[in-house]
Amino acid sequence: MTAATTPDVPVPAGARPDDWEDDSPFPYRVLLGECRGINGVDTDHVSVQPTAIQFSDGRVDDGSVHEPPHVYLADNALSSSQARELAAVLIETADEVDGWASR
Amino acid sequence: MTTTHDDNATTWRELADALTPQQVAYIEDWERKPIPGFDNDHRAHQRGLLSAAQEFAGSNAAGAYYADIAQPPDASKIDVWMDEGDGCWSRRFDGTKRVVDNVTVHIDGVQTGDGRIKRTILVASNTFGDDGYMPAATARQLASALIAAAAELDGLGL
Repeated sequence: MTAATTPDVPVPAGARPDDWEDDSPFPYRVLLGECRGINGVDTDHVSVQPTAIQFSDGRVDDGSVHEPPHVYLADNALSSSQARELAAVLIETADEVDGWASR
Repeated sequence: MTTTHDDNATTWRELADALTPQQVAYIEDWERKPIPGFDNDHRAHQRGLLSAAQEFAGSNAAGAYYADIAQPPDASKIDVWMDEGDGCWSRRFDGTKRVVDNVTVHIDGVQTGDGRIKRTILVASNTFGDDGYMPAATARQLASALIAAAAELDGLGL
């Protein structure tokens, strides 16, 4: 259910917020980061994206309420060069989602 | 290669001589216990049994025909030879696995009838605890596993 009020909290750098949802103890919204792909492979097949839950007081859930920040991977068969590229993207995305968690 | 089994057979028992005892036992068990919703009538059931026997017989013949082809050195499990439907035969195999928490990086491959091998790296995202989501620490470990698998793949010469 969408929250009746819209909390005024900043969005972490690089994050795209979804709508606020009413919940106890706080309304929350899902944050999605950049969807990263690798060369020559459609992101429908291989992609990495950071996700997190942000509360209406600005905090990012550390996992104590819903879930901690995550890296989401959707994948398919890879060559060795694609696997190396995916590894780099995973590290880059992990750095980004860790940056959100440290706020 | 061409398969040696009789494509004109009308019952699976005509092919029994080309099957292993395990394959015969499998089909006899299926014959005794039709699958509800699949073997809807006697004729459909018999067609299914015959089709299975033809597939087994074809794989057995291919196994004999390609017996001189060396197995992939990194294979931990090799499937039987299968007709790809265009007259070309191949067999799939499992290579090494690297496990990171509940994520597995596989090297899997296909060997064709001319002995050539093609391998790919797969991340078993369907075994993630939450459908592809992982903590950042796991993502970094997975990155290390992918880099190691890529080095192995390059070392095997694809």
